[in-house]
Amino acid sequence: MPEGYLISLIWLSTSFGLLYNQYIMEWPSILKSPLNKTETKTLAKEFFGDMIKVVVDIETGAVAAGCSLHADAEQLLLKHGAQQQSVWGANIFPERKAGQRIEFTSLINIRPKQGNKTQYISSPDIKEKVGSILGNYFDI
Amino acid sequence: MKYHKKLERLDVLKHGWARILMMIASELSRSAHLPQKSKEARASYLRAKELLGVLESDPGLPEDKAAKMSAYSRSFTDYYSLDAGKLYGQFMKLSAGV
Repeated sequence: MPEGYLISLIWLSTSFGLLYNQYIMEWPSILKSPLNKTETKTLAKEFFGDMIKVVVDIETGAVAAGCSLHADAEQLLLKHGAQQQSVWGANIFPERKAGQRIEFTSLINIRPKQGNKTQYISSPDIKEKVGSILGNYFDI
Repeated sequence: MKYHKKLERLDVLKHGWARILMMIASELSRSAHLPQKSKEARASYLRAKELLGVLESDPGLPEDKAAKMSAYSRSFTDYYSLDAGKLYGQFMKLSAGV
């Protein structure tokens, strides 16, 4: 296949992917496949400019992303069968250095009954699970 | 809204004052923990300021609380002299007292 065609094909598929994510796909959404760097940055720009709010179900590994408020993505996961105690919120900053892109804070994380008194996920075990699941979908 | 691109004022207000105050506190906390001149710190400050503006303009806000919000709003005018860490604490206290 001539190089020109190949480049056009790649450009077309990337453009369609971006258009699909930006204008056709409904957000928040439960992710089905990983987002590449460009898709992640586009999503961040669309909502806040620099960050993506995500909610993770640590039992099933499901991730809901693309919301103005964590509560909206949380509701989506709960509607799909997630248990409240398994659902945790975080933020992704795609422009940060690798290894520093996740921030484990969200108002939905304030759950004194589960021993989490602030917005920050205090349990190292839960943080690790959330980070590991997010690693399946984002370049973190 | 400019810094919460997918939100309308009413979407924010439906969460109630206490939660909005916590959202402001959350942005201030982020801003306080980042280098002051970073883009991210400024973006967090702008989001906090925008949320405060929504809260302040809520016609349902009692007069005394509105006056308090206006006073806080004035302290948001200059980003570089803003003590985000201190304000974070104050907004958390406010959210608990609402």
